[in-house]
Parts: sequence; structure tokens; C-alpha cells
Amino acid sequence: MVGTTEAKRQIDEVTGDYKYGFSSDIESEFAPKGLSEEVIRFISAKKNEPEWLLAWRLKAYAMWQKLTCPDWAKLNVPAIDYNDIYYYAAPKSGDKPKSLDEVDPEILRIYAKLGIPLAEQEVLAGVEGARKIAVDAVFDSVSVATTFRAELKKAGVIFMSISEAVHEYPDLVKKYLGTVVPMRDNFFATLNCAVFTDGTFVYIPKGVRCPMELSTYFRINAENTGQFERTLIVCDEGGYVSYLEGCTAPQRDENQLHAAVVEIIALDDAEVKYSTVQNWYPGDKDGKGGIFNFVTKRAHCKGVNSKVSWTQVETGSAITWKYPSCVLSGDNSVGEFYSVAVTNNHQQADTGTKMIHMGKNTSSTIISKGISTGLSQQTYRGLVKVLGSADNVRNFTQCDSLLLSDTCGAHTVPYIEVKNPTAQVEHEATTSKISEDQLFYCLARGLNEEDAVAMIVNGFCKEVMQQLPMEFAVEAQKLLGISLEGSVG
Amino acid sequence: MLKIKNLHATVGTTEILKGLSLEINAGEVHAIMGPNGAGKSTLASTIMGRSDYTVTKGSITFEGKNLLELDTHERVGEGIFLGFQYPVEIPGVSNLNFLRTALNSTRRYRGETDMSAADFMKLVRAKAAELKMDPEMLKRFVNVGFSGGEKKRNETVQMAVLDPKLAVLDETDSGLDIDALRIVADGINRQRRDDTAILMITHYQRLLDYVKPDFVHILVDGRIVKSGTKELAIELEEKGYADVA
Amino acid sequence: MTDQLSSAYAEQVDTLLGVIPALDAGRKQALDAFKKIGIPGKKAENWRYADLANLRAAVYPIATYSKHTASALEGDFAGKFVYVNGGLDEEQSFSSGCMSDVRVSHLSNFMVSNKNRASDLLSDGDGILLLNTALMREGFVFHVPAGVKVEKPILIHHVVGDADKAALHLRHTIELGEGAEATIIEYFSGDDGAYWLNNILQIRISENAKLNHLRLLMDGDNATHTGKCFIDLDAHSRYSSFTVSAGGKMVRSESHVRLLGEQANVKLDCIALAAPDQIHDILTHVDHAVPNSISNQMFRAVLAKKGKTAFQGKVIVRKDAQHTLADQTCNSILLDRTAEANAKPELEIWADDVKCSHGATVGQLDDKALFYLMARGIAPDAARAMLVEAFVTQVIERLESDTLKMLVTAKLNQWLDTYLRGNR
Repeated sequence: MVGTTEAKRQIDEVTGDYKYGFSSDIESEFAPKGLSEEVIRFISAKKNEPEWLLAWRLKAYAMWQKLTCPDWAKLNVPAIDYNDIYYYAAPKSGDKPKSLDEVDPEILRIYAKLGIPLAEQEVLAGVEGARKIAVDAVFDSVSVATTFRAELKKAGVIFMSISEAVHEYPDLVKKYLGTVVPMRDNFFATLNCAVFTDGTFVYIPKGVRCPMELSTYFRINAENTGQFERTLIVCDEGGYVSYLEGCTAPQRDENQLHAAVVEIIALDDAEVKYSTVQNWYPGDKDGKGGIFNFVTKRAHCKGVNSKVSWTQVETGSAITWKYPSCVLSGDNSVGEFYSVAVTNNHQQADTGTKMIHMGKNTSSTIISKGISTGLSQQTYRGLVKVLGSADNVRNFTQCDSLLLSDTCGAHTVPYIEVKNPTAQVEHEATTSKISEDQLFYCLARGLNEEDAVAMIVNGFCKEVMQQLPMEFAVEAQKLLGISLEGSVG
Repeated sequence: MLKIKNLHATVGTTEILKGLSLEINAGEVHAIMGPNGAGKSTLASTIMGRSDYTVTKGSITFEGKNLLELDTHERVGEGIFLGFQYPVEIPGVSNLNFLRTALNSTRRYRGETDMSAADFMKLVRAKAAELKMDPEMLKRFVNVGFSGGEKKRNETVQMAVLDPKLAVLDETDSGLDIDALRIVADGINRQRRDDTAILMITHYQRLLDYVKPDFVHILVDGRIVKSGTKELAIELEEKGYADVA
Repeated sequence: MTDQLSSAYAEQVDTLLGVIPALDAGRKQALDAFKKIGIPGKKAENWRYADLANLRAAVYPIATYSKHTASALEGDFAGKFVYVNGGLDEEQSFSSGCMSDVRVSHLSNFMVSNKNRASDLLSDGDGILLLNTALMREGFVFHVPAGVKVEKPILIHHVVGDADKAALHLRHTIELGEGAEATIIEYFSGDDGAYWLNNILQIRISENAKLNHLRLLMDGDNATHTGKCFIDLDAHSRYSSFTVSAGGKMVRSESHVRLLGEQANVKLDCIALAAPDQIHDILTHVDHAVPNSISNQMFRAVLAKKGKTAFQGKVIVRKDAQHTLADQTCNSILLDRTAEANAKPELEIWADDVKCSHGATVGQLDDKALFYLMARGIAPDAARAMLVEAFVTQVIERLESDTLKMLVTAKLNQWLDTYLRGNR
């Protein structure tokens, strides 16, 4: 995975050379395929969960059984057989590459472009026997744990896997889990409640500005659990945290279905910045394979003057369905959504946001940039809703789509629903292709077409990229360029 | 004509006017000068009854009537005119339509009948000509596409047509070049009569070269701290507020 | 409930069999299809904002023809056709010399001599369209032959009276031959009965033809108006439509445009004036199927107390429709806390060399502009009316014909007088 250079430097200073820690030979215990009460009990037992959490899971399972999978107008989702999935620790399959030599050179080329060290490459490409240590090789799990945990502990910040948090801070978890995305919210959220395996728990105490950017990368217990992640971030009064999720390198995963849930709560004067760079395996040029990424992300700006910003760069997955949203119930609260979505080949993305204005003087900003090429489909779907009680709401939305091929589609479906006359809501959307003039200008200055397109596209996305924490921004820009390869013409 | 006594006014929770007193009689031209943030625009807005400003103490009477009890458009009916610092654009409403509606609203308030269309056109054209405004501009939408100077001249034409008893001019000279300034000053001077009064709120003394005031007041931190004649303005220009106030 | 409705409507269909023989087969098929899907419910995608609960809850008998004198629309018309409760009132109608080349007919007559044209009538769609197909009784059939240009507008006035809880299902067609030009005004008015007017108009505009279409939806206070317009445009043709939606209790007006030939041009403008407890749900669907076509839409809504509007504008640009220019603007002003404005401007783009955009704003009258007007002595109500007028006038200015501008402005002033200037 691409580590942050700043963090690397910090670690260097503290620990000197990387120590190559040693990761366990994880007993390949796994639950049988399919979903049933037994499987859920198995998962809960494996994690040694308290009774209340098992009961919560079972309640969700019972609910889920009565629901039907949603059917979206613009996505072409093949039917998913829920009984053909491993819900806990898939067994190792025999067909992993034995070394990097056996890995698709295309992928290696991308790793090289992104500047990823070989050892990391092994992990990412799923080379057999590649120790997850490689991850630890860059960051020795024990020392990282010590260094960062120590700093965070000084500040009073709690940052750990949710499985651990359930044991160490049960009251906190119980208080907030499922309060922003209730169990019955949607089909995938309900499923997630029943079978989530792990995720992140963050608690920022009153008045604390988290001293460093938190990244999933540093989360201990980094099992390859992209599958049913559950994240809960609670920022208490006056707190601030910036959280980074994902990484730029393409990741393969055994599991095809990803249905994560992210809940954020911001109390009075608190601010949370949540950034995602998502590049799950998008499937091959013929659209085979590829991950389905159905995520429910929601923030509750509960406190007065609270603020939550969602920034995302989505370039991966075969099918993406996610609407990071903000419920703005605290007076003066602010919600922001900045997104760049790139789709190529046969990818499909249906993404957007919901801003629900309930409190007074709340405001929201939505900037969505979509780039499609190949045979891909992209839809922006957004909702700006102003309830009758929400006085003086301000919203500004800008969604722009750039089409780079004549075989792709770009769609915009905004819903604007206003029940309060003092609101000022503005929405603008444009769809076009790269102007011939702009392109020619670049070519006439010596850039080749690929670089020219990359540059123009980056300009198109600038507003969004600016919102990303610096290290991510640099990587994300490279990623854009790579995702668009072969798209010109 | 206008009596302001110990006026305290707030915007939001901030008090801007902190006990301002002022008296203006018919036939007089007053100028109020002051540094930024002193409360000049607040004073103008409060006299006109703008809703974002709240009067917490004090009184404003106009010809014996308690102005604070009247709505904005009623104060206009009583004979007060506000020349805006930043006249707003109103697309879709023509200058003619706007002026005629305004004039007739005021007439109705006073129990008079509407002016006939013909008389109105004569009046407007005459006033526009006096102030050298191209009659074509009357057909355009209120201030849309007007330059800064054209907007201010538009204000003076409106003032001429509505013929108020008291004209309150909020930084009418800001953003004007010499030519525009002369035209605006001419308009103001035409409004000087024994039965009218003018209150100019200005930042620079330049306007006062063209419209000679009878009284000059210095407004600092929400109160009038010094009053004098035109000489005071010159002193101010030379020495600055800190020294003079 | 659909079963009860279906059997009741089946009986109505039976009474209509044989009245216009050419339509019989279509009626039965439509009714069968209706049995399966019924009246659209709120969960159906494009019905989020308009609830047809009243149509689902009760059967609407067919309104009987009756005698009414409608309040006339002032103007110089090439012809005037007054339909009272769906039947043509010859006495109030006329057709002048400038229309002499236009072939005017009515559904019932037309289908006698043109049985094969029955298949031109659309029969596939939602429950509303299906019921219309099953129960249509009358409508106008206009054909403007190639090259014929009708200078003055043709007025069609639909009046509804004494039709409380009854329905009118009307189906009309307009055809313009190559190079033809005409202006049609559809004016809907009615008494305060809770009637249902189900109006469907099919328009075909051939190459180089031009049609101006003004629709004044001013139904009675308790009426339900479901209107659909289907317009097909051939190369180099133009369709300019202006809708004023200011009447009825629930108005659902749809315009479905297909640009089938290059250089076709469509303009869809609409002003919705939502008075207390009214719902105006305006839907447009513009399909750019071929290259080099243009669509331009402007929708403005003014909402008074408890008014509700929705603008759902969908533009599809198909794969081969390169060099399409599509633009939509939707602005809503809420005058009261209890009003609700909704907008869903949708773009579905499959071609890349296009320029498509849309903008939407929702807000209230500009505070600064209001103060400016009041600071010139204009009382608050009059000031608000002036700004609303300005807001709406910017759309009215897009009409090319002064006659039409005057008609619309008159209606706007009536509305402003009633709801803003307090002169009711």
C-alpha cells in the first residue's frame, strides 16, 4: 500500500530502520459458505463479542431476511447469490501467483508508476505466501502500534479496530453504533449489521484536535477485510479529526461483494474530514471480475456549528453504489461533498450525496466531477432537501461530467426539495467533452495526447483534489492519469 | 424637520449607534463624515427603517411624527428619500414602471390621485434631461448593466421625480469620476430649497466642494463627536479623523 | 382497488363500444393493460410529487355533454373551437378565412373515414394514458397541409361545467405538413366541481414546419388535470411551447418531445403559479435521437401559501446525437413558509460531442430588491408583486408573438391581483 511519506519520515525518526516483524500463520479457520444464524454466531464467537452485540447482529439478520435486494434504474447488477459468499475469512485458494513474475505485467507497471516498493507489490498482487508482514515490513506492527498509539493516547484520542473497541469501550460503541445508519436503513446496511467483520472506531474527546491524520492503513489487525467493514467515528465537542480511507494501488480481493457502513457523529463545534481514495479492482477490459462496492456512508452533524466534509476519489470497482450523506440537524452546521469519479471499460458508478437540512442556518456544498470513458456508465444522484424547520439554508451544487469516449454514458439525477422559503439553493450541471481547442493548445506545447488529457482532466477536478490531504492528493492525481489510460480517442 | 435623540441601534447583537443625536431643519444641508465602521450606513438604514437594524433606545421624529412607528414605504410617503450607496439591480422591472409605481404609491399615501400617464412622462423626461440622462435608459431595467456613475445618476433622477422633503444620501459620491460627480452634485443642488433638507453621508470631502453644506458632523464609533461648518471638513481632510475627532 | 376501478371502467368501455368502431379494438386492449397496472402510485418513479389518490379511490363516470357559455379569451383568432365537457359547441365556435386551408375534423368523424389512422393513436403508457385510450370520446384533429402558414392563432377552449366527480377523456392530434406554420392556443377553464380532465395531444411536425403552442391551464379550483403532449419533430422543424399552469387543484402536465431529424429545435417554457393548496407537477422528456438538434427549457414557479410545484425535466441524448445543444433552467420562488418547491432536472447523456447543461435555483424574493422598492415608497405587497412580475416576465419575454405575450401577461396579472395584491 502507498504509505504517507510524512508518516514514514516520522517513523524513521522514531524507530530507525524498519524492523521486519513477523505475522502469524493465521489458522485458516473459516465459516462455511452462505449466511445463516450459525454463521453469525460463529463470527461473533470468533471475535469473542459480548451478548448485546450478538443479539444486535441476529436482529439485523432476521430483518434482512425479509428484505429484497434493491433494483436501480441505471445499474446493471447481476444477481448476487448471498449463499455463495464466505462471510468470514475465505480459505486460501490454490491459484495465487507464486511470485511477481507470474503477476500480470500490466499491474506491475501500475505499481511501478505509483512508486510502490516490490515487497508491497507482492501483497497487493496477492502473491502466495507474501507475508502481510510486507505491510508490517514498512510499518512494523508492534512499533507502529507503540509509536502512534502513544501519541494518540497522550491526546486522548481513541483509534482502534471496532472489534477491540467493543471490548475496551463498550459503552461508547453501544451509545453510537447504528444511530446514524439505522439497522433498517437499506438492504446492504442491514446485511452489514449482521455480518460485519471489522472496521475502525475513532473517538475524539472534547476540545481535542487529533495530532495526526488517521488512516485505515495504520489500523492494527489489518486483515484483508474490505468485505463488510463497519466504521464509527465520534467527534466530541470542539474536536477535529481528518480520516483517510483506502489507497491508490489497485487491490484485488477474494470477495466480490463489499458492503461497508460508515457512521460519523459530530457534536457541537466539532469537525470531521473524511477522505477516501477507492481503487478496488475494476474488472478486466471485458468487464469480468471486479468488485461490487455498495457502501452506506452517513454523517450526523448533530451539534451546533458542527461540520463534516466528505471527499472521495473513486476510480475502482466494477460497480459502485454510494451516497455519502450529511444530516444537518445542528444549527449552523455545514456539510460538504467533493467527489471525483472515474469510470473506464465496463465500470458502472451510481454515486452522489444527500444533504438533509433540518437545523437553522445550515449550509452545504456539493462539487461532483465525473469522468467517463470506454464503455462505462456514470450517474450522479443527489438530494438536497430542506425541511420546513430549516431557516436560512444555503446550498450550492455543481456537477460536471466529462465524456472521453463516444461509447460511455454520463447521467445526472438531482433531486431538489425545498419546504422553506428562506432557503437559497443553487444547482448547476454541465456535460461535455474535452474541448478541441484546449487539447490542441497542449499538443502545440509539446505534450503528448495522453499527458494532455491527464492535465486537462486534473484541471477539471482541481476543486475536488484540493480538498484531499496532501499526500493523498499527489497519489490521486497519478491515479487519475492511470485510470484514463487508453481512453483517448 | 428631523430630530434624532440619543439613538441606539444594533445589527444582530452588535450595537453600532451608541447615542446619536442630530437636528436638521428645513432649508439646511448637512454632511456627516466618519471613518469606516463608524455607523454611517447604519444611520441611513435606521432612518429608513430597514428590518435588519433594531433601534434599542432613543427616538427619531420627522415633522413631529414618530418615524419609528412607520414602515419603510410610509416614511417615504412622509417625504424621506434614501440615495443608496450600492443601488441594486432589478431585472425585469423597467425604470419607467418603477418610478411611476413609486410616485403613485407616495401620492396615494398622501390621499392624492395618481398622476396621469402623460403628465408623468413629461415630468420624468424633463428631470432626466436636466440631469443629462439619456431617455433610452428609462426604458431599461432598473440599474441592470448600468455603470457605477450611471446608477448614481439614476438615483438622482429618482430623487428629482419624487421630490422629497428630506433627502438622505448614503455615500452618493463613492466610485464616481469627476464628470459623474458634477452631474450628481448638480442634482443634489437642484433639490436645495427653503422647504427641503439634505443629509449627505460621505467619506470624502470632495463632494462638499460641489454641494456646500451648512453643517458638518463627525461620526465616530456610533456617535456624533464634533459638529461644525464646512471648515471642519477641510480640517478633517488635512489631519484625519484621529486628530480632529 | 384497481380491480374495482377496472371493472367499473370496463363497464364504461362497454358503453363506448360501437360509438367510434375504429377504436374498439384499441379500447379493449388498453383496458386489459390498465387492469394490470392501474393508476400510478407515489412509489412510481416520476410520481413522487403528485399523488393521484383521488383517482385511485373512486371511479369517475364520463361527464355528460352540456351547455355552457365560457368566459371568452380576448383576441384576434383565425378560428375558435369551444368544447364544453368534451363536446364541440358549434355556436360558440367559428373558423375564419385564414384557416380555410386547414383541415379541421373531430375524432369521431375522422375515425369514420380514416380507420387506418386509429393505429397512430398512442396506446402504450401509464395508467392515465391507458384509460384515455380506453375511454376517449372526442377531440380535435387538425391537419395543416404542406406550405400553409396560418398567421393568426387558433384557439381551442376546453370548458368544463357540472361535471363534479366526473371525467373527460380527450384525445387530439395536430399534424403540420412540410413547411407549414401555425399557432395553437389551448385554454382550459372550468367551474369549481371536482372533475378530472384527462387530455392527450399528439403532434407531428414535418420538415421545416413550425408550431407555436400556448397552453393556459386554468382549470377550476377543485379539478384534477392530467395532460400529456407527445411531439415528434422532423428535420429543421421548430416547436415552441409555453405553458401557464395556474388553475386546478392538482395539475400533472407532461411534454414528451422526440427530435427525430437534424436541426430540429424545441423550446419548452413554463410558468407555474401555485396558489393555496395547489399542486403543479410539470414533467418534460426531451429525446435527442439524431445529431445537431437543440433543446431549450425554462421553467419558473411562484409559490404562494401551501402551494407545491415540481419540475421534472429529463433530457436524453442518444449515442449518435452528436453536437446536441441542450439547456434547462429551473427557478422557483417561495413566497410563504408553507410552500414547497421541487426540482429534478435530469440528464442522460450517451454521446460525447455535446453541450448539455442545466441550472436550478430555489429561493425567495431578493431582500435587497424588496427594500429598494419599499425605500421608494412602494408598499410591501405591491413591491412583492412587482418582483414576482419581473421574475415571471423574463420567461414571457421569450414568446415571439405579441398577441401571446399579452394573453399571458393578462393571466399573470389576474393571478397577482388575487394572490399578491389582495384584490380578490
